[in-house]
Amino acid sequence: MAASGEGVSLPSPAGGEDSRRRRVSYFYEPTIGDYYYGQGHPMKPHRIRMAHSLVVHYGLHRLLELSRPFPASEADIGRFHSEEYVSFLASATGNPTALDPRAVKRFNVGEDCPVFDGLFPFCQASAGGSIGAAVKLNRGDADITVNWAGGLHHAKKAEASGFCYVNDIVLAILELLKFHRRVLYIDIDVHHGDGVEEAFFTTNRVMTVSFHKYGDFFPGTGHITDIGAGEGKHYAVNVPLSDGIDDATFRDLFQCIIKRVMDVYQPEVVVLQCGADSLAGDRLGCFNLSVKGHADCLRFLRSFNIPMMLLGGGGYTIRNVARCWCYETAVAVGVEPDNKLPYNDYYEYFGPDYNLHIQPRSVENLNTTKDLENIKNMILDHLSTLEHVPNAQFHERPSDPEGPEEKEEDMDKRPAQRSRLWSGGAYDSDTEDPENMKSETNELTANSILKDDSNDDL
Amino acid sequence: MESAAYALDILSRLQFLGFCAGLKIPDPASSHPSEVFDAVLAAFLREVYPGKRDTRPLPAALGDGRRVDLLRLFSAVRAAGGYVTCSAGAWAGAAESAVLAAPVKILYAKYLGALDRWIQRLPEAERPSEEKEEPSLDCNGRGQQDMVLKRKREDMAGMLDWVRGVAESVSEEGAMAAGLADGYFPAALAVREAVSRKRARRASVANGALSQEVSCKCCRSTTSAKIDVLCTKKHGLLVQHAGSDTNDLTKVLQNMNGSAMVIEHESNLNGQWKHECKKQLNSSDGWHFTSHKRTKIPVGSSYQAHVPQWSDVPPENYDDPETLKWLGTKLWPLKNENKVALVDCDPIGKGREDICSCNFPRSVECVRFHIAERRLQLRRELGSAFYVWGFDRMGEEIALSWTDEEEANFKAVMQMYAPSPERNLWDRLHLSFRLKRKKELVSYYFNCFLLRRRCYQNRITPRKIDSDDEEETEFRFLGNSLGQSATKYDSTKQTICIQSTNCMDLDQ
Repeated sequence: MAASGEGVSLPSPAGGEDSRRRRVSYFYEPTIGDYYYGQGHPMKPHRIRMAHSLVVHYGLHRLLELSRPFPASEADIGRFHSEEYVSFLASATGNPTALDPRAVKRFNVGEDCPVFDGLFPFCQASAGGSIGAAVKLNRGDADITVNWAGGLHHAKKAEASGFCYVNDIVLAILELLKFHRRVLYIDIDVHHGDGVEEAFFTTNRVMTVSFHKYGDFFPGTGHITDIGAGEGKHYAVNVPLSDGIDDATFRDLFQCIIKRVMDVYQPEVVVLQCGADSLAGDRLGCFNLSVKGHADCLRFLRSFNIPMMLLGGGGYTIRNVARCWCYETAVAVGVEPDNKLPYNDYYEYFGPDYNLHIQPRSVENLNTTKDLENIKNMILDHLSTLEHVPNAQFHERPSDPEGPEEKEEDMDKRPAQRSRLWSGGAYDSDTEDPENMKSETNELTANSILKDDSNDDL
Repeated sequence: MESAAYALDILSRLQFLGFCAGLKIPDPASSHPSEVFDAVLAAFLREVYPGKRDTRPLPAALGDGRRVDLLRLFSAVRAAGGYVTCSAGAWAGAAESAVLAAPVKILYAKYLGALDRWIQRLPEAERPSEEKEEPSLDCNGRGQQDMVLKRKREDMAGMLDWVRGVAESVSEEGAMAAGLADGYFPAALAVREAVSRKRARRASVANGALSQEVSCKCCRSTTSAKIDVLCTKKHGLLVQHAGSDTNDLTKVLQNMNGSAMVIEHESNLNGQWKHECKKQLNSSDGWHFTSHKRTKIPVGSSYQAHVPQWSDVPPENYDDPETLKWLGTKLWPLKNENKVALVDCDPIGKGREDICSCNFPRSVECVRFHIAERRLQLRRELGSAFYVWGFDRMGEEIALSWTDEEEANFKAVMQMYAPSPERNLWDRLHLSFRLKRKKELVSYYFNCFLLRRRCYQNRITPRKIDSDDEEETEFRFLGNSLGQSATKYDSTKQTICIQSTNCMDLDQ
């Protein structure tokens, strides 16, 4: 059963007729792997460097535009976060005695979110990458943009949370909103995307959809009945799941819900947070997805031919995070890489099998068919309330007497003013050799995962 | 020692637990110890399995009529660490000690299982001096608490099964009684109490009543399957959230028809959890993902982002430097460099060839050779980008700027301080390497140290690999920094195969 190819086909932007090829712009800060949260802390920026090494050793860089991000300034970060919080982050150093204990408490730094050396430059690089990715999409320079250092979805307006300090996703979406009327945010991290949901809880210009473990699990929000408030009511979707969800179950649920979301919301751009802690064997997570199953989400979304941004997020078994994000970069560019990993700088991390793909664990999927049916139905019900008044929700607020009269907007086409700045074709036509490129496979079911008994991670 | 005193000690402990209240052994000194034990056991079993006397006739005998000395068997199993440990593989030893060549496990379970479970409940202090030599086989020297927890986990799973069984077959007295025998009922009540207390606390947290200092981190939000002993101590919970490698605690609510007895759903999905568990015991703060528990999403200008109304007019000056700066510094593709080198490159997405002409394919040396080869190719292809992207600071080549002594020193400090609960590892490293900046130490840690640990794990303990447990220090580097001498082969002598003392799990 093919996992891709389904979806509402919107008219693709100029140059996108070949559904296999996309112009992909990838942001990477070369020093990102040097940042260190502290002894024993599960979040390790080094995983981003490992992913990058795999991407390059597979030769995927030849199909990418690679850029070093511009570091976001305090003012840039202040577009969302509160001034006091940003200035605290900017001045916080790794010396624990120099910190004001009241500020530490107020901004929730210290334990899960320690103040480490280089904290602020780390945040600047993460945010800079995501905002840069947004600008690329706004300008039409790329179809898909990637920032694995981003995706830190727990950070709130005035406090750190869940290993996240600056919410690069919110900043990126605010940038996208300059050129896109409706932005869809999808979060497949095992934890609820609370920071992003909260930031856009009361607006209908951003729809947030989060698939996560719910029930005695961080952060505790993400109940199925949290659907937004005010103008944002029905523009937040939460899919609460139990432990052990596998590729097939997740895919069915994801495709069913996202298809409906695409139908009723018709976003102009999609932001996908690819937190890799939903993979099997994650140190903190409890799902049972393989790398292929995780990447199926991306593959499905890609088939809608809408501009897309891919961001990182959680992921605490670093060898699997690297595998996942490398593979998802490959899916973005339209290449199916070999399962045998190329020799690379971190080769031994991936033993004893040294393969790209991982096996799901033999654990029970505690999501019963009945539970999933109920969840699906409830969510589809919520979404159906958006269908009844297809244009009403996009009207200007009636309380604004000076506002222009709402025109019947043709939602399918981009307004003419935002003409494309890029004329078409790949980034470097010399490197693109169609004979060398692997064709994208559609065989992405669980059956196609390589059965490799020696890969028995414990 | 299987003396009558031992049997009497068992009796006194049972009496402490509330069994065999009025039992007195007439003239124990002159009776054979095993008879004394059988008498105690008989009385205990009568209370624990009311109405089922006939299924456990005493004295116990094998199929061929040979009598079984239950006292000896019980003592042997206790000495080996109890029923649970023996189930992990020590039955042969226990059987031998008890001079039995029979299926002892079944026998033990039938006659002595309940006794074993009850006796284990007693705290260490209650044990008589003879039992202090009892080795705890599965503790790895980390103390009794792991054992206690492991037993408690098994009990918890058993108790849950019992509760479900009772719920599903309410009329059967047998099911109820069996649970009583194993002490499940009091445990179930304790769980119910704990959960209702936890709920009350959660409700108050949600109302913002608790400040950060007062509330316990582990209770507010935990990742699944964490045991937190400190939480227990603070709040007097009798029951920790328990799990085991193979058992799940599932929601009993449906079965219990709305009873207050709810056991939260926890499960363990990987062996790394054990390490988390042990870490919890050793350190006061695990990575619990603490949170200000807010189940209701707050609304207001302090929480939401400001989202402007949509305007058909695009922003002005999207081509200005302020905007263009966000495009960052383009690193690839390069303008005019190295176009020739690309022709020789492998196809995009190609993996490695497993066949090579090395003397020992897939050995440490072979792998290191191929990695170096690959990096050289990459350097040719990328040109300056190789350095800009930081590839010169990746991988084991970092170690080339470290002396052997420095590397040995690093490893020694890691072994000493990585498992320490004080979290002072990096301070210690800084003290030992005053001339190296912290960035250099961190880089060596991820690029060399962890990589070599993984190299060792991949070859010596392939079933027990972990890229993320920082406390694991039981390993050695294979070969020197260039990978040479990882495998020594003396061609003048015949090779003999001997069992590797490092290999602990290839046979499993």
